[in-house]
Amino acid sequence: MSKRAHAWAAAFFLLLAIALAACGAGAGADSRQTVKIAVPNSKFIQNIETNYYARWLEEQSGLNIEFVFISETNTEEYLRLLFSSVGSELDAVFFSPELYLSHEVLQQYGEQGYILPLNAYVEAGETRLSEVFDGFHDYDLRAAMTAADGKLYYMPSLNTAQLSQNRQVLWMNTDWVKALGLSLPQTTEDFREVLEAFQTGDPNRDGRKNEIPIAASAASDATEICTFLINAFTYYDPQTSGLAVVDGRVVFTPATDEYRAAMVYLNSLYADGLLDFYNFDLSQSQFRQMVNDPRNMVGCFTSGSITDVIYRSSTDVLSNYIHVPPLAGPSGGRYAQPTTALPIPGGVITATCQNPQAVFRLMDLMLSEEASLIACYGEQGVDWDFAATGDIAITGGRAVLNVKTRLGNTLQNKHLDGIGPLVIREEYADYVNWSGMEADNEYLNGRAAVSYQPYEPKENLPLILLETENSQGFQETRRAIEAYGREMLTAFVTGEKDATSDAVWQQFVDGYEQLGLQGFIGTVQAAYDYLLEWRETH
Amino acid sequence: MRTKLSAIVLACALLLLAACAPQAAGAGETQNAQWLAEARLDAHETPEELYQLALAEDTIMIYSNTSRMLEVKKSFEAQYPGLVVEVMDTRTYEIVRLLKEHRTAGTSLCDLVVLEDQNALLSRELVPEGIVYKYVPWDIAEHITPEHNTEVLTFLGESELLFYNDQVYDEPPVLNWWQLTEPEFYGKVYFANPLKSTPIYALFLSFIEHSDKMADAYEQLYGVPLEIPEGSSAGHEFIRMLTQNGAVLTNSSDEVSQAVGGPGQTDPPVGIMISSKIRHRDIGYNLAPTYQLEPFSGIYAPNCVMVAEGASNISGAKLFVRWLLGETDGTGAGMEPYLDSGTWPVRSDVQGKEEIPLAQTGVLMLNKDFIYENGTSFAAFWNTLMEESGY
Repeated sequence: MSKRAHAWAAAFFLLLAIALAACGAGAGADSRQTVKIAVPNSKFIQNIETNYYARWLEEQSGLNIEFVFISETNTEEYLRLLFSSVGSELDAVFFSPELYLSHEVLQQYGEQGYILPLNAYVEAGETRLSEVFDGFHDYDLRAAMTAADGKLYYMPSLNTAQLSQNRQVLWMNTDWVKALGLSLPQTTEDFREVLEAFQTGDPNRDGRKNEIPIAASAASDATEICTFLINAFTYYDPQTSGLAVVDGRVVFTPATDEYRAAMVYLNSLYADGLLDFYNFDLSQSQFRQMVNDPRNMVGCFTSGSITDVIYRSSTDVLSNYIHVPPLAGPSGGRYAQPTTALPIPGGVITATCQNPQAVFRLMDLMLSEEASLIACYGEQGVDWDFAATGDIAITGGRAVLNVKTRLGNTLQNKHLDGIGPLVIREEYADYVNWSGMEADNEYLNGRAAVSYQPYEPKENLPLILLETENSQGFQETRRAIEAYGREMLTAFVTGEKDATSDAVWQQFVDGYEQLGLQGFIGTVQAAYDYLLEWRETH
Repeated sequence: MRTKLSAIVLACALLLLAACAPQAAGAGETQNAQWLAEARLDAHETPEELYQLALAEDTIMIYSNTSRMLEVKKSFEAQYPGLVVEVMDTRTYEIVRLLKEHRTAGTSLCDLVVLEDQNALLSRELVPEGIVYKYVPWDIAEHITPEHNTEVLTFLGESELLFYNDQVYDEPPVLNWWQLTEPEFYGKVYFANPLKSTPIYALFLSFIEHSDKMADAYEQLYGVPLEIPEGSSAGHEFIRMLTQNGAVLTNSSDEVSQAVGGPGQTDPPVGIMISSKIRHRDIGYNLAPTYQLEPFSGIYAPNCVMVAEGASNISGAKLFVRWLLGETDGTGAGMEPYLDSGTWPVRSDVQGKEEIPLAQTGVLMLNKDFIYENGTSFAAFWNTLMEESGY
């Protein structure tokens, strides 16, 4: 090769090197260890292979992460087969808030040897998980995550935010309210009048009687309207099986006169055609389609986040709805259901894992503050930043985070949509500023949360006490009580059972007793008493 | 040889740099002039002519600071089948930021902007820099009152006022701004962050501009002159005392409206917000404005509509402006969402639904020069207050 050719070649390779460096496309041999992790599929992640958070985790952990998607149908059976398959190369399984296994099932997997206990790694040195345990004061988080055999089988996904979280909010169509010259309801009787007007007044002005005063779906606690309305009579939380705490005592609200009055009220709505039986059977997707229908057909509905139901891109539909604070019932009841931080399994290490130490370190990394900020808000400087002086949070007070791009419930490639071990820290999540967009779902939810807080009960029975109770037969009794409650609720609302009949009501209450209600309450009372003692020392 | 090689590498590097560099300013100006000529903002076009032209265009993109623009969009799309409008509903500050970002990037993603000029950035920066342009339909111009057709086109008259809950209070609980600094109102005054909301920003700057009036109002209320620290003013002292009296800052007037007028309250706060929120009465909120307040009730805070530089759907944008202004005779449905008891029409031939005439509201007209010149020092003052207040 001539000197001239050498010179051209040198210039060419120099430019090529510059171009490659500029593109960050160095594709040299990768000596990093590969870990294979099964994850639920998420329609909100563009491409997990190029996802920002996934790449950040690889960079920080020094691992190559190969993701395998979990089948969305027959999940438990699929996972059981996955764990037990001879020659399975899975190192870990990550879960999402929508798709995870219960503590109970995970303990079974642990006992059967499909997943590894994590105690040795937690106790071996300083870990972020230990920091999370030490920094959490609502209850003994470590004990709550520990199985009956004394072993920790999973890394948590934990949301400690409370100010910005809603369990169930009533969203009402202001377009209809204005069209009919109504006011937002404050009481259960106001609510009835509004529904009647919705049903008869043709508020969508299409000349047809196609209005649906209430849309609901019993497929989720948040979208099941009856629970919201019962809370205008007595505090009622279906997640805690109807148990609540008053002056330190665990009480069962479905057996009260207020709950009975709520059944009579719900039945009267049903009898007047204002609460459709159809509501009980709608799937979440049917329910969403109904609310998002461009013909503007729905008067009100309940949900946690408004964008759990209305598509974020439907700004026209979003602009129609406003939150309505909890309704007051005839006896002065008016309750909001508070949220409680509940650890759900975020990730487990399989028995077939080749390097459990490395996988544990990866999952522990995911509990760090930096990881959690990326996991919730994406890339710092691009999608979010720390707030400036004077920025106001959506829940009021000083904002801590300035979120520029809302990534929740939307297609994105910055985080894993809540998949995997994660700690959403209240000091950030509750103090996010407003993006300035009127249709910003976090803003709409935050404003609703502020108006619901005054109506939360004074004492809160943490759901975790029921979720992690391991005493003999407790969970079976719980399931039986909840199933009986659901069945009877439907019967009372539809009039199949008459709540005004003393005999029928007594029979209903006796039904609970026969399922072992008193023993059930006693167990939860003991757990609650222990919790109060624990809190005094932590 | 070494020289030749260096030259080759240098040339290649320069080519790469040139490819990545933004367009030269001169090219941008030429493009702008060409767009402006083609936009024909002074043409005498009928709605039908514009409609036919707009049918060949794309979705009309509007950046708007008012959520009622979605209602205008609905009636517009019903009136003109085949035309589609997209509204991005955000704050004036964000709109200004986006427009400047588009200018820097040399892109034109927006056709129309609806924003306030209470921070004077619209009239003192966006208009002179050619980032937005005024379009006044030729056959509607004569109906727009002169004060609403200046360097910017105003389509909606609103005011920033003090509100109270008229279900709890039979009459205004405050008659002098200084009362809000008293212990009775500790933690009971709501308003939006002035660095995020332009009407309250302008109101606070007006307190400073009219410090003499604020000092007089103090003496009128308490019978003694206000002690003003050296280098400060009565306006600054009022803002300081108001904020340090546990003022609750919000992101927007909607939150103020909810806190003040939300249903079922027994001890509601008072709040400073934009007058058009009176419309929340329509859904049962209990809100009343305070028009008689010493030394002035608030400020006039109108809203403007302008065409964005480089708007690619110019015929649709023009048609939308016509619709928003109520069309030639002022009866078009586009204006309806903006005719309520808390707004004042900008057209002399349109009867508004305002509670009282603007002249009787006791609001001040804005001095945009003062606001523009003093904005930076106010922001510094405010940020110091925020730090002292723990925000």
